[in-house]
This record gives sequence, C-alpha cells and structure tokens, in this order.
Amino acid sequence: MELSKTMFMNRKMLKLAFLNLFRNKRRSLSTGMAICVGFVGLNLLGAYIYRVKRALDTTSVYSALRGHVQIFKKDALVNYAIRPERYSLSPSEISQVSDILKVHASEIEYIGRNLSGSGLLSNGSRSHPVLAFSYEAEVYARSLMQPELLKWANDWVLPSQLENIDIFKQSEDVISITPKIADIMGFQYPLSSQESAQIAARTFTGDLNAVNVELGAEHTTGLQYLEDTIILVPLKKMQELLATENIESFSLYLKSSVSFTELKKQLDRELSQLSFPTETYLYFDEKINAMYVGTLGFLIVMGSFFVFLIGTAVSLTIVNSLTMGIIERTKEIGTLRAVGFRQRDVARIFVLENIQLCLFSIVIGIVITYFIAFIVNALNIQFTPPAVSGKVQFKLGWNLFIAGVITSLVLLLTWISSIIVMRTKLKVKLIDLINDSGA
Amino acid sequence: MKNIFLFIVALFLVKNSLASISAEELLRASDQGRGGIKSGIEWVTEIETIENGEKSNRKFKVKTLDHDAYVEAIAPAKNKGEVYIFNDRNMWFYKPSLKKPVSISARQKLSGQAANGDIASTHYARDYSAVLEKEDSFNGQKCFVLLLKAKTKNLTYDQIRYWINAKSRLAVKAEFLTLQGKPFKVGTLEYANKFKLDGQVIAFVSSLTIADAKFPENKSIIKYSVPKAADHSAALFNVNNLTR
Repeated sequence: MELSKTMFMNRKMLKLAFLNLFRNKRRSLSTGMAICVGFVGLNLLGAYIYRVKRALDTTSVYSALRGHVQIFKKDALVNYAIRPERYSLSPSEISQVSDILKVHASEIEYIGRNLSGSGLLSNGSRSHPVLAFSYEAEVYARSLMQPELLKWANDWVLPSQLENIDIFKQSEDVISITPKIADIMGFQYPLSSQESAQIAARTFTGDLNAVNVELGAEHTTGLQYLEDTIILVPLKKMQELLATENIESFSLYLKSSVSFTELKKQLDRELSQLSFPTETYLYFDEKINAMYVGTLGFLIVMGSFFVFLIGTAVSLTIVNSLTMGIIERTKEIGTLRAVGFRQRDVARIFVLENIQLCLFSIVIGIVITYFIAFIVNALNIQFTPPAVSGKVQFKLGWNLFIAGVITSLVLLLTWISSIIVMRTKLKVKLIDLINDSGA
Repeated sequence: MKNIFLFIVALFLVKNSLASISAEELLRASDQGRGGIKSGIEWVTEIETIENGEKSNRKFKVKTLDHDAYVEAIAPAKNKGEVYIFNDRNMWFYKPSLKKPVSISARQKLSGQAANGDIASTHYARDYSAVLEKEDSFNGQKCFVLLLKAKTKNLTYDQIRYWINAKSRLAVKAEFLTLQGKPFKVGTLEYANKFKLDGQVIAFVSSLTIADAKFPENKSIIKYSVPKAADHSAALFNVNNLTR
C-alpha cells in the first residue's frame, strides 16, 4: 500500500517536472541547447582521441612489428647497440624462450623474431645512413593484413605494400625502403627495376661488412623524422649482414581475447626460471614506445582541459537556469510546501525537471554526433598532424561506448549542479516563500 | 708617432704570418713520417683492437700514391679479400661477394676500424689548417703543439691537438677533440721504421696507439711494418676497377 503510494507520487512528480519544462520554453530551449552542444563537443573530442589511440595501438603492434608483447634480454634496450653480442639472444637462448612460448600457443596468434642495426644503404655511387629492422615474410604479411590495422591506420599502409605483399616470400634478398629514401638515393620506380643495392654495417664482432640486397618493396613509418631512416631487411639477410645467428627480441602477436598484462605477468614468471635474464614489455610501455605514451598523454591532457571547460559551461548554464526558475516560482514553491510537499519533494521536482531536459538534450546530441561523425568521415578531410609524414584522414571513431561514458558524465554534472542549487536556494522559511511577490 | 704605430702593427702581422707558415710546414713535415708522400709507398699494418674487454686482430696491406690509398685485408681469413679504397677524402669498401662497392660516409667512420682508419689518415696538411698553440714537452723532448682545424665539414674530427717533436719534426701525440673541444680519443706515435726514397732515408711510423679518452681500456694499437717505396699504377686506386 505504502509502495504503490510512493510510486504514484513519483509518477506525479515526474509528470509535474515534465510539464514545468514547458512553462518557460525559451529558457528550457536555451539550457537544453547548451547541454546538447556540450554533449556533442565532448563526444566529438572523445571520438577523435579514441581514433588516435586505436591508430597508435595498431601501428605500434602491427606496422612497427612490435607485437603486443616483446621479449628482450635484460638491459638490451640500453646496451644492445653498444654490445650486441652480449645483449642479444643466442640460438640456444632462442630455443629456450621458444619452448616457453609453445605452452602459450593457444593465446598467441603468431610470433616474430627481430634484429636491428644501423648501417649504410648504398647504390654504388653514394651511401645513406639508415636504421635497419628485420622482418620475416610471413609475419610481415600477416601483420599488414590485420583488419584492425586497415580499419584504424590505413593512412600508414601504402597501397603498394598491400599490392606487393608476396614479394618477400619470393626472394629473401628484397628489402623495403620508404619513398623518401628512394628519393634521396635516386632510386627510380618501379623499385624492382633497379639494380641491386648494398647495405653496410658493423658486425656483432666490430668488423665492417656489406651485403647485396634487392629493391622492390616500400613502406612508410608514418613519422616525418623516421621517414628518411628506416629500412626493413629480411631477418636472414640481417643476420648475414651482422654476422650473427642471434636475434634481438621476440614479438608476440596475441589473440584478441587475451589479456596482455596477464600474459606478460605469466611470461615474466616463467622466463625468470631460465638461465639468462630477460625482460618483457607491452607495446605501450614508454621504454619501447615513447611516441605512443607521449602522443596519448598529450591528447589526454588536452582532452581533460576541454572536458573541464565544457563541463563548467554546462554546469553554469544549469545553475543559472535553475536559479532563475526558483526565483520565478518562489510563491509556487511556498504553496507546494503549504499543501504538504516536503522541502525534499520540491527539490526532487526541480532536479527531475533538469534531468529530463538533460536526457532530451542527450538524445538529440547523439543523433547530431552520429551525423557529424558520418559527414566528417565521408568528406575524407585530409590533414597533416605534427611530426606525421604525409597527410592522414581526419577520422572520428565515435561509438556508443563513448556516448555512454559522456552521457553518464553529463547526467552526473546535471544532477550535482541541480542538487547544489536546490540546497542553497530552498532554505527560505515557508511564510517568506508564500509572501514572496515573485519579483 | 703614426709611423711607429704602423711599424709595430707591421711587425705584429709579420710575426703572426711566420708563425702560421711554420705551423703549416711542421704539419707537412710530420705527414711524411706517417705516409703522406706524393710518391708510391706501401707497408703492412696490424691492428689490435680492445673494446669492452673483447680483443680482435686484423692485418692489412696498405698501398698509397699521393692522396689515394688501397688497403687490402690479409688477416683474419674471414676478412681476406676485403678492400678499402681512399680516393682523396672518400672511402670505399668492397669485398668479392658485393656487386658494387659501398661508399662509407663520415658518420659511419666514427665507429670501429673505419674510425681508426680516419685517425690514421696521412694527409693532415691537406685536411686541416694549423695554428701553433704552445710549446710543450712529451717523453722529455721539446714539442710544438699545433691546433688543427678541419678545412671541410665532412671530416670526422673538427679539431685535433697535435704534438710535433721540435727536432725530428714528427708527430708524437694527438688529441682528437669533440665539437666542444674536449678530447675524444688520444693517440701516441713511435717511429722505429725507416725506408729509402730517392736516396733519402725517411723515418716512418712503427706504432700508433689510439685510446678512448673516457674509457682508456678501449684502445687500438696499430703496428706498421716493412714500409718501402713502390710503383703503383693510378688504376689501382680507381674504385670502378674493383668490380671488373
């Protein structure tokens, strides 16, 4: 009996709050618009940050051939360049690590082995300093064909990379260079028509060595400052150049359902049992991917600043609108209190009024955001972000998860703003409320 | 009064000019003891490198003619057949399995043997301008200390501080300086070799020890032996002939 009475009262309050929205249509409209614009702004900002994050995720894992988890010999990040022999994994160490990885076959989609070194790319008449990273044909092809990579970072995959995806399987001498290196070295297109090139580097034992390589493939690093530096060399060719059978690291490409951090913890435990010390890193670790951490950190700081600005503006609009409503309806509040409404009930009517206004604004905001995101993505607007090589599409990765988070945030903001106003404004005595002229 | 002033200025200019000329002459004379000779000569070089506790040995036969050099690896066996050609300031690397020789840039020369090759370069008078900085003694003998500054930007070292024995006119010590003027590597030279050229006996370097200034345990000891005058065809130093 008591419960049905409460429900009846709540329904009445909800209806009353809804009807109140139409008493001052102009104010309700302006407040609703402010909430709606703020909501759309936050959604678009969230969509952009999400898109950048996904692009960074996929390029870090697949384009840069890092995988989700990388295994190095301990301290290799600092010392590999100085003492490569000691800080790389020897064939017997590779075999020991591989045995551990076999246990996790159900969690790992595929595994890559890496080796890198600095050297010179020569065309017979001049040389250009490069950083050479190894690749394995199968791993490279699988990484490039990842749907996630093509969805979020297709700007960083050259069309020719996909067209020539099998070129590495045909010859173990083919290297991949960037279009900028091709330009610097004067290599003509198609690259496969060029005579062989040579790469020279210092071997693990300190000798100068050089090998013949074939041109034919190209890639982009996506970064302006690396575009004239990075070449990709088949692992076997790289081992021949550096006169070693060692590798620098393993890259583990995990299945989508696997928790990276959990697997890393397990691997750390198991690898610690080996006779040599190792280190594992997730692809977003600052030590191996400072670019990722820096870019995302900057976007999050920038995003937080905008959230604060928009949130404050929305909050102030609600406070202002509610205060005006209370001042205008002081006499009415007094009457409600006189007929038995408690101060809490009156406050609830006002809060519900604002929550309903907020919900209407959010629904409209979701529709507007969807259309803006759709139009922006369809327009294929090209721009050059700082430090990025070439133009990329200004794409918004909006989804219902982002909308849900921002809806919760805006609703919370509305509720808090309403509660604060009601608490401060409804402390007036009943007799003063009834006597108020409404001015 | 005006004439006295002009006389003093003229004296000052002449003094400086003489100092500058003698510094250049000293440098040219010292180059001769390290192979900086217009005529053809050849010698054998053994390089022992100790880097981070790891030791390696290599042996080369060096043939030079004026500003060109042909350096052939003769040991260890795995490096046999590797050739370095120095054409003026350009360096080329070639081994029989390569389809084309590789030119080595200044940046690459900074590491390992190639850097030592650069330090062992014989033509400082061509590459550097010299200023007499001070007089000093080294191993109890009076030396002129020259400050050498690179004439071109593509040299590995921008500045070298160079000790030349006042009596023998041979370089005995060198500090290879960073851009900030701090020693990066330090080299000491000995001259126990001699060879005859046009009836004249020429003292020739027998040992060059190059140590890392910060980590002196990392060093290269370059030993020179059997220097002799030789007739070399200019074609030997033509990089295009390597692949024929």
